[in-house]
Amino acid sequence: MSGMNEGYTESHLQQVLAEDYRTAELGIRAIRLEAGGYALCGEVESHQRRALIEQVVAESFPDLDVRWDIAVTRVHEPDEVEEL
Amino acid sequence: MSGWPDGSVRVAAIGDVHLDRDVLGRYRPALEHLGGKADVLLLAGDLTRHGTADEARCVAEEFGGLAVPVVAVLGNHDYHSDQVDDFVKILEDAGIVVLECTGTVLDCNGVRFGIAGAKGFGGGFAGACGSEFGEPEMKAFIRHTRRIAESFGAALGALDCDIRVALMHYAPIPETLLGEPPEIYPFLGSYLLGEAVDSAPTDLAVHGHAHAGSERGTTPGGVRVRNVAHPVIKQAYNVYQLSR
Repeated sequence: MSGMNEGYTESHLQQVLAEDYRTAELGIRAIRLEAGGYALCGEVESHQRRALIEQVVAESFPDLDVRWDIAVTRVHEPDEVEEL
Repeated sequence: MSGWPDGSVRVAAIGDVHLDRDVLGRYRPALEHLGGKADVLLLAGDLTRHGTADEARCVAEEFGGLAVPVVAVLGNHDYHSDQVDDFVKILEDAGIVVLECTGTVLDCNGVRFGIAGAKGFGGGFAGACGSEFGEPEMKAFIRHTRRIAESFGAALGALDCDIRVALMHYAPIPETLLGEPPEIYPFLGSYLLGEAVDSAPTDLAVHGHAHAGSERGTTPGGVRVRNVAHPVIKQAYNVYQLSR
């Protein structure tokens, strides 16, 4: 993706994250930072998936400055019941 | 004999678990005591990442053999590999009930608990929704949602039960999408699903799909809606108590 118009970076990021078989992530958002680069935000189901996202983005956007804000969603038991 | 009031049903629900080998076993500790917390577990679609048979086996292993019945709908991710028939059979062989514009009624301590389920689809909401007009692709898009909504509403209305729940993957109202970019609402749900929910005396509507959305909302007809996408509820499942 090097050499592309920077105005399309966010769109290409989302497309790569959704369509690369290794990631298949539609819930990660790219937010443009005033200081330059992007913050990638969202939640995934495992540490392995977070690492794969970092790998896929690094391959497709080697020169992109990225701040990683991706968390792994917790899976603890609930302790509340909502009565409806 | 449950630990909650007679005439009530406790419903556990989770969506968007996106299982694959790397996640296998992660939910099991939290599911171990499910029998003491709920009467049934609902899975609101996007059970896997790519919808492969191997991923379906992960779902069967993770959510099969639990202390309570498990009822699921599929999500868009579960359709990605075009293996839906095999996918559904693997889940059903594990005892998981899979609904698509169909319903089932469970006996929960003498309460007839009805669930109608459908994947649903997009199209948008009041003021920003597509219609069956123009190119064949656009007409097909909205027609797909309309047909699902019509069949889903019929399945919901046909349930002979005391308590009625609507289970979907896509959202029936925009309120539970709050937090998502408004530009993508038409890809996250449709008012047609909301109309289907309101066409029957529904006690609760549950959906997933919108990872950045909000948990709670209400249809124009007054039915409570809960977005149980895993990144929204941030725990293994939520529990809702409904009374006859």
